[in-house]
Amino acid sequence: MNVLVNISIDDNLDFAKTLARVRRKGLKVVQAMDQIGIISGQIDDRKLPDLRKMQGLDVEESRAIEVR
Amino acid sequence: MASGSNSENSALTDENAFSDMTRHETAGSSGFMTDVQASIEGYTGRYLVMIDDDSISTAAKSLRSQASIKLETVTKSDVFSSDSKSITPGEGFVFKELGIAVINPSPDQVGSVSASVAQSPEMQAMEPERFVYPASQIDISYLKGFRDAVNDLYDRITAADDQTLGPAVANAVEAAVTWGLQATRANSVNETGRGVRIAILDTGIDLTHPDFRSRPVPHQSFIVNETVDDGNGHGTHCAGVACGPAAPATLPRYGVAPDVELLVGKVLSNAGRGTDTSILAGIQWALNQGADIISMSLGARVASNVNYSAIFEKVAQRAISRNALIISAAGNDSNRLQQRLEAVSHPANCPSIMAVGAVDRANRPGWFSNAGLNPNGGKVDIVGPGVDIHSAWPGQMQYRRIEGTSMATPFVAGIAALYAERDPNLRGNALWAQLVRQAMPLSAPTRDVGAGLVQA
Repeated sequence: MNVLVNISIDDNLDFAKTLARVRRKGLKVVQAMDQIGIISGQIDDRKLPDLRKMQGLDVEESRAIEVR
Repeated sequence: MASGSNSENSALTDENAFSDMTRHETAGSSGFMTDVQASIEGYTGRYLVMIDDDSISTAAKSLRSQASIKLETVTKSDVFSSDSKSITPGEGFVFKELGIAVINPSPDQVGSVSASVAQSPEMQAMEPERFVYPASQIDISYLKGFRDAVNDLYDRITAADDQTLGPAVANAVEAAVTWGLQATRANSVNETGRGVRIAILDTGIDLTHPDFRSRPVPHQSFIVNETVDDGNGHGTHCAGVACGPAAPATLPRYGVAPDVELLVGKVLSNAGRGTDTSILAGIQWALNQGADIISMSLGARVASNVNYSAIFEKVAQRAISRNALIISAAGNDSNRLQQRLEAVSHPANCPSIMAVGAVDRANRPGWFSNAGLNPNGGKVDIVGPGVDIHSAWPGQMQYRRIEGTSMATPFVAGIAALYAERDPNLRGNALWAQLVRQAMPLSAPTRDVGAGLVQA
C-alpha cells in the first residue's frame, strides 16, 4: 500500500542529489520544494523503513489537517 | 436603656463572662478561647463605651462619680501583653489611643453606668462587649458564604484589571468597529499594513465578495480539482480578520491590516480538509511570493507527550531565516466547560511556529482553546480575540460570526503586519519578539494565554 510522506532534507545535503537518492529508494515524487528543503511523495509502505534509514532526512507520513 | 440593659446584663453576668481581657482581644488570631466562653450567647458581660478624644479624664470622673466605676488608663501594649490582668467587677480600662473604655460593672452598677453615659456629652455610646470567636468555632455555612463573596469579589476585580489593562470591551458596541479590533487596539494605530505581505493558507477566498473584489489578491490552489474560490467560508473569514478593508461594504470594520498585500493559498478543500503535503506546498508558494507573515488557521490534534513535527519545525526555521514568520492556530480540541484541556495542535506545537490561543471579550480563554500541556514544545505563545468574531463570509450571507483559534490567528498575523510596516527591521524572530513583548498580560495562566493578548 502506498503512503504519502514528507521528507525534510538537512541543509548540508545537496537537494538535487538527495532527490535522486530518494527516487532510487522507491519514492514517487509528488512535489520537490527546494526552497524549503522538502520533498513530498508516495512510497510503498514496505519500502518506508529503508527511506527512514537515510542519513540527513526526516521522514513523516502526511497527516490529515483541518480548519481550526 | 438603663432598665433594659439591667435585665439583659443580669442574664449575661455569668462567671465565665469575666474572662481575661487579652484573650478576647486576641482570640481571633490566636484561637485560644475556650468552648465554655464561646457558649455565653455571644456577650462577655462587659461594656464598651465610646469617649470623645479630648474628654477621657472628664468621662472617667463621670463614671467614677455616677456609677462608682474605677477606670485605669492603659496602652495597647499593656492590653496585648501576655500577662495582662483581667478586669474585676466595678473597674475598667480606657484605651487612650482609641477613645474606648472597657468596663466591667457589677449587676447593680449597670443602670448607673447607662445613666452616666446618657447624661454625659463626652461619652457617645455604650454597647455590650461581644466574644470574638476563633475561626474553627464559626458556622461553616458562614465561612462558605464569606468564601463565595471573596471569590465573587476576586472575579470582579480581576475582570476589571483585565479591562483596565486594555480597552474595556466586555460590553463593547460594535456598530463601527468589532470588539476584537478594539481589544487589540488595531483600530487605534496609524499603520495599516501597507507594504507588508500576509499569506492566508486556508480554504481559499471569495474573490467576488464586495470587500475583496476590487483588490488584487494573488492566489493559488493546492487542492486537486478545486479553484481558490472558497466553498467553505473559513478562509474568507480568516482573510477578512487579517486584512479586511477599512471601510467595508457593511459596518462594522473587522479587518486588522486593511492595506496589507494579501496572498491566498488554498491548502484545505472546500470540506475544510487537507494534508501536511498541501500545507507544505502552500508555505513554499507563500515564501516564493515574498510573504512576510504566513497565517495558518489549521491543524491536527496532538496527543499528550507526542513530539512536534521535525519537518514543520525545519520549514519554520527556514522561513524565519528568510525573514518570514509562520503563525498558526493552537487548536479547538479542549472543552473547558468540562475542565478538559487538550494540547496545542500540529503544526502550531513546533517551537518555531507561533501558536495562537483564543480569548473572549472578557479576556477569558475560549472554552475550546487548547493549552500548553506538552513539555516538548507545544506551548501557547500568545492569544487573540477568538469568540464571537464578525468577518467576511462568501455568498449571500456576506458576513458571519464564528469562533475558534482560527479567528485569533489572523488577528495576530494582521497585527504583526502593523508592526512590520512600522519598523522594516521587524521580521522573522524580531517580529515574534515584538509581538510577545507588546502583548497585554492577562490573569489567566500562561499555559492558556502565553504572553497575553496581542496588542497593536
